[in-house]
Parts: sequence; structure tokens; C-alpha cells
Amino acid sequence: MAAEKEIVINNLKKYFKVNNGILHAVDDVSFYIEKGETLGLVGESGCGKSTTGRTIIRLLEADGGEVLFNGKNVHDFNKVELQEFRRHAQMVFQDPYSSLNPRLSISDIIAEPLLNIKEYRRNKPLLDKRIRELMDVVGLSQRLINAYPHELDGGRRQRVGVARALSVEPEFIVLDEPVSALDVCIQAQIINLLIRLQKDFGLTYLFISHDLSVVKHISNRIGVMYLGKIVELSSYRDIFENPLHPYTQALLSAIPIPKVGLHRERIILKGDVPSPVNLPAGCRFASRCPKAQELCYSSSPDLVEVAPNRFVACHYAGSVHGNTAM
Amino acid sequence: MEKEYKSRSQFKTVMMRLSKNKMALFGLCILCALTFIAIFAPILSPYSPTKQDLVNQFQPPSGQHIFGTDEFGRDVMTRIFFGARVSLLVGFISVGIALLIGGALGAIAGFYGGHIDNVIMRIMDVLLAIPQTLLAIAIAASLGTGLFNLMIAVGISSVPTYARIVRASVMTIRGEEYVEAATASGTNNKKIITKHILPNCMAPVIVQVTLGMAGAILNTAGLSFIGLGIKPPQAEWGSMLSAGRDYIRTSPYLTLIPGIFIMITVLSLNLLGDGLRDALDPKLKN
Repeated sequence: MAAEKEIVINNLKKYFKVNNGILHAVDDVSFYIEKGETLGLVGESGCGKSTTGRTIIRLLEADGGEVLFNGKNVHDFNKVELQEFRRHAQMVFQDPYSSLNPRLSISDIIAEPLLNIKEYRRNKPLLDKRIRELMDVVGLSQRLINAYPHELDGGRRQRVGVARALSVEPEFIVLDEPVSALDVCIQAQIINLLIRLQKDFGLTYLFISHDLSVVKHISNRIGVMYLGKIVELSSYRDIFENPLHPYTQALLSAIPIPKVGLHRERIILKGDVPSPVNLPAGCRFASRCPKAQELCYSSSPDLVEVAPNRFVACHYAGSVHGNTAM
Repeated sequence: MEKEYKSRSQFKTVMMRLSKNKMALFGLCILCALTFIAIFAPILSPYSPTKQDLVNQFQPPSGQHIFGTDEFGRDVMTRIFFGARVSLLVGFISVGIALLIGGALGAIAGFYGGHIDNVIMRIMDVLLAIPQTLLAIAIAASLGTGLFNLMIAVGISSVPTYARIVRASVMTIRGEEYVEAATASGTNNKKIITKHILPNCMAPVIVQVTLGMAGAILNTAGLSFIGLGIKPPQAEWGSMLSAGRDYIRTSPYLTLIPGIFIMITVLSLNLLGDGLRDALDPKLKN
């Protein structure tokens, strides 16, 4: 794996104003993604993983921190630079039913990012050739070129979404739960397609999902998010074999294992997620953490490197070490 | 959008699907017929629309005067034919003006939101607070009389309605994921509005346009009635309707016939509009 860091995120913050205060969707998140790798971002609904992805490619403006893409801060880009950046960073959306304009044909949808590039706008045969090429790459039959999204099934629609993202030959793609709206067998097809494309084009992925078993298949490293913060970040092997943060342990214990007679300790989290508007003073997970101590309620732990490339945000990461749930 | 890589053009597809819709075709036929009688009015009728013939006043419909004659003995059918010229023109152009201005303002307000939205919509609220006819009277009075000024007055007075409808639809569509996807593709806002948002919020607008046409014709009648619109001898459906009102007990056909023509126009536009809306929606393809 190349050690070159393609994306570096430093102290990224994104807040939303809501009626009763400020919602801390992404609160001081820092991590990096190496060139050619897949970073999986997991967490429950509303923990800020999609917001993180959208802020990284500047679909949302950050309220603090920086996103360095090949050394340049994405949030400092002017209009022209941003346009150029959009050729390098793309996104695949969660719901292929709503991310494709129902009034545009498949060719129009795939052509959209290309039409923002002068040479394709002026040269229609070239554009046509590129669209057909992309359809081949993602495994869409060319007879669908003039079809409309509603005529396709979920898997094919998501292939269109992938083709659209690939059209400008990006280096980095944010995959925002690209398979969670699909059937399980279609999920596997799309995951395999994404893995193949990554190999063929040397893509860097940020794979956002709430499904650990899906993330496991595709990620090199995994970041676990809880209430706008990353609580654990390390290689997928470390996360699955020896999770350090109690939240990660609880998540892993929830993955069903299809084995008769298997007994294992299931960690059941009690209580609700605290509101991201009125955040608790100490560790955000403290109120639900089975191992919470007094310190956890008063001071918020930082994400620290406990071993090479193993980051955990827990005061007692050392002491919980070894209490694996798997 | 013309694109060479398309094997079938959008226009052709829409026309093909429209031609399958019998009701829409019926509406289109009526509209063509109305346009035809407006253009060829002098040829179609032996009478003059303005020349008075006091001997023959209040003739009920007969073989000689198919729709009868009015209080000055003028042939109603001839006046309907000549009136079609003004009424259709006023209907189309004033609604066109309203749609263009109102649609643009509504789209901008709905898309950008925030202060821009507030400023535009508060102005629209001010306009809405004034009754539409009164507003049209005020505009027509300040612009002076004349057919074109009349169309501007009627058009501008219905701008707020269109602005509100377009804004509401744009706000729903703006939150869709494909709009976000377009932003991520590097598409600029102008293109996003015209390519993604407006085509998807056409349905309520088409309905409002077809209904608004009737309102525009009647508004013109109101303005003509108080002397700000069409000058009396000239024929116009709305003013014929209001002039015939005085004789509704003795000669009901004087109000009935212009009313029927206005209704037929609106009905045909409604049918055509419905068909157009369906033909433009790729989801309903058969």
C-alpha cells in the first residue's frame, strides 16, 4: 500500500442550526486516507458519517478545520479550482432511486459531469464514445443508453450512479452507503464492481456504511463514528479481531454469526444516543458505556494513537484491551 | 437539449406520446379551430364586427344570424370571431408574461432561499395583498390604454401566483439527491435550475397556466368594462360578456355565447395541458 496520503482531514467541524440550538453533526474529526486505499466509515444513523463525506467533497461548507486534497485545502478553493476539484473527487449516493433525475435518460445522466468539461461539450461523438465505454466498464448493456431510470432495477440504477461518478476519471470517490438500499445479492455485485474498479483505476474510496459486514469486505482501514466523533480508527483486521473501544465492541457483538450452537457474549447498549444538540460534558458514549468510570463523565477523551496506526478515543482503552467481544 | 448521441429526440418522443392521448388531441384540435377562426375572421363572416344595424337589434339566433345580434344589431358570431383575436392573444401573452417573470422569481427564491427568498416573497406578498383586478387596474392606468399595455397589466397582476407555485415546487425538488449529485458533478446553479429543477416541477405549473388563461380573459373584460382595456366598438369576449349582462333576461344568448367560447378555450387548454404533462413525464411511458 502506497503511504502517500491523498486526503488529510484536520479538525473538521460541521454544525447545523436547528430550532433549539446547534446540532454538532461532525465535531472535530481528523483522519487521513492513503492513495489507493479504502477507508470505511461506520456508525449508526445520524452519527455524522454522511455529513463527513459530503463536507470532504464540499457539498457542504465546513464550519471549521480543513480538508487537504493532495496538500491543498478543499475549502479554500475558488470557483475555478472547485470545478477542477470536482473532476478529481466524486460521489456515489445512497439511494439510486432518488439520486438519478427521473426526466433524464441514462446517457444524459452519465454525460452530466462530462458536459462540464469543454472538450466533451464540443465533441459529441467523443462524448457518445465515452458514455458507451463507461456503460461497458460498469456492466450496463448498451441498449439501455436511452432508457430512463424508472425502467431499471436498483442494481442497474446504482451502476448508472457509479458510471456517472467514474465519468471524469476521478482519483477519489466518496461512497455514501452505496449498497444499503439494495438487495443482498445485488449488494455483493456492486461491492465486487467497486473493488474491481478500484484495482483497475487505482481509486481511493471513502466507504460510508452502517453495515459492518459490508465494510469488512471492501475496507483497508475502518473508522468508527459515534455522535460526530471518530471513536476508533485502525486497520480492518485490528477492528474485527481486537476492538479497543467499548462502542466498537458492542457493534461487533451485534453482527450475527451463522453458526449453530455458538455462544457468545452479546453487549447490549442501554439507553438512547444523547442529542447531538445538547451534548454531554464528558465522553459522548459514557451514558451508554458498560465500562464508564467517573472520569468519563467529566472529560472527553481525545483520539490517540495507542499502537502504530491504531487510534482510539477512550480513557480506558488500555484496560478494556483484551475484552474482545468476538 | 440537442444531443447527437440520442437515437430518438426528446421532442419526437413527446409528440409521439401526445398523439396517443385522444383527449389531448381533441383539445389541440379545438385550439387550432379557435386560432383558425381568429385568423380568418373577415373571410368567415359576411358582417362587420363594428357596424351598427339598429333595425336588427336583439335578433335571436337564426339562420341569418347564427348567434343572433346584440343591442346595436351587430352579428354576435362575427364579433366572437373577431373577439377571438384579442382574447386568445391576451390570454396567451399575459399568462406568458406572468409565467416568465413569476417563474423566474419563484425559481430564484426557492433555489437560493435565505435573504433572497425573503426579499422576493415579501414583495410578492405585498402584490398578493392587493386584489388582482385592482392591481391590474392600477398598472393599466399608469401604463395607459392599448392592447399591449393591457396584456402587461393582466400579466403582472398574476405574477405572484406563479412565483408562489414555482417556489413551492422548486423547494421540494431542491432537496432531491439528484440535485446534490449535479452539484457534485460540477454543474453550475443556472444549469441545475433549468435542467434538473424546472422540468421536475412542471405539473402544477401547467395546471395553473391552463386555468390562468381563463382568469386573464375575464380580467381583460373587467378592465375593458371600466374603459382601461379594449375600446368599446372593438370586439372582445370578456367585454361582450359584460355588455350582454344587462339583457340577460330578454336575450340570454348575448352572455351565453361569449361565455361558452371562453369555457371552450379553457377546456381545450386544460385537456392539452394534461396531455402535455403526461407526455413530458417519462415515468408514464407506454
